[in-house]
Amino acid sequence: MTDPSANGIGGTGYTLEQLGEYLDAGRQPAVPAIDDSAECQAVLASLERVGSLSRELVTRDAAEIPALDESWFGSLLGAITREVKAGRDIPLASSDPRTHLSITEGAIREVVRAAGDSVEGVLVGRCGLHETDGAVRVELSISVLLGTPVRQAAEAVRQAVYSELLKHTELAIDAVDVTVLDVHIVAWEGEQP
Amino acid sequence: MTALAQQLEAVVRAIPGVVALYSIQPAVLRSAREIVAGAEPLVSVSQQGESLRVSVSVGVDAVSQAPVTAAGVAAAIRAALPPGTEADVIVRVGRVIS
Amino acid sequence: MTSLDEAPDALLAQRSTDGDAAAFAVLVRRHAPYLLAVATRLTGSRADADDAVQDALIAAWAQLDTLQDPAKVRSWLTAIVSRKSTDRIRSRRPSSELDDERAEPGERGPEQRAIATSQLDALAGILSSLPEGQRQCWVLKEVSGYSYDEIATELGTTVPIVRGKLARARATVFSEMEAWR
Repeated sequence: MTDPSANGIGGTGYTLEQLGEYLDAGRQPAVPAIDDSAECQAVLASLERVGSLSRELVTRDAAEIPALDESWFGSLLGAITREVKAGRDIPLASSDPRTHLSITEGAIREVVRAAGDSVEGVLVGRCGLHETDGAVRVELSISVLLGTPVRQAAEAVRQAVYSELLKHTELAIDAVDVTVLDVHIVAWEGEQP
Repeated sequence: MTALAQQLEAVVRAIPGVVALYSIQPAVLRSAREIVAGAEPLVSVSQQGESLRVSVSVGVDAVSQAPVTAAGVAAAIRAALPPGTEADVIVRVGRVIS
Repeated sequence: MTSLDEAPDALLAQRSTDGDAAAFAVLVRRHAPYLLAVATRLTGSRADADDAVQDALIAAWAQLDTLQDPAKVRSWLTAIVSRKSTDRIRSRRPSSELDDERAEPGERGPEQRAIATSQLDALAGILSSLPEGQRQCWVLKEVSGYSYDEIATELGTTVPIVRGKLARARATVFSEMEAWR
């Protein structure tokens, strides 16, 4: 491809192709001849514009796709629920030496999430078990709905988690650490920046 | 072995508090097209020398205590084995479903 | 209890990483249309896009521990979708790009023939009319944000070829969008 002007864009000697690569490189290292040329800057602005138009086009395409029905999601979501992220097996007691009972870490995390979620205005984010020298500490982060009293919510979560873990596991829980990550508005707003 | 596995699967499913059975070794699926419905045996029964080894992974209802349900599954499996069978029974709770 | 449906991406991604299939399902439903749009622009075919996106989502579930920033889960999913889309493209034809000609005006499809009533329509028509290799380089660069190296790896070609295709695509888009500037 050749630029019609023998002296490149704005007489700088740089071609459209070179300006495109300059843009792709984040305008680094800086080339004063390009940065100081009004014509080059105009071309770079246009190239950036078509880039953002391309992203906008895909967003528009997405909005125009007819609603996907359940069958589209069916086999995919079925495959995913079958793949449970088990993690370690945590033993449960049994009086019979040839019977081995356990609960997975994945199931325990599910218990923690359900307990936290059961508190009004709370959604659990991450959760995990940490063991040091036999002492088990449960850590979880929560997001709290705007308007919910944060301290009370965190305490309610702590108690719910502790009590559900007592019910479903035989772990000696040293501590339940609840971190409040953020306050969330009710509805997901759409495009995240 | 397969007939016994299928019989044990029915026994386990019938236990109150058991909501689902999962495969013992979750396979790594590469694509949606590799999913074969219902082909996997969900109770693993294998011969280990003189004795049997029976393994199952279950999803339990959060209403009952998971350790109690797990013990119930193991007891039911033992009761369903031919009398005098030597067996190791492994029950893993893979999910607690609210 | 607050509904998961309304939870932000970052929280859903964190829960998914911990094994919460319900949270992942919300992410899937929320982002599937966008991912399908990217895959369709890349592969040129809605059927291929459906397969690529489903494969990508199953792979994503298994790879969630590689997600660095939970808030950027959509970009992360887009990258996996781009990879699965280019896998399909590579398996369709050998890596040597033989056909680099634009479709003749008479052979162009509906999007290309439609009279553009906006800049977006104009761009859509131009992109659809680009030779496949140029369009793929364009989408991977401008939509998915890949580097030349990454594009070359994904398409099974070399960096000089990628640069050449991007240059030709840019020249076409630039001159044909002129009327809209």
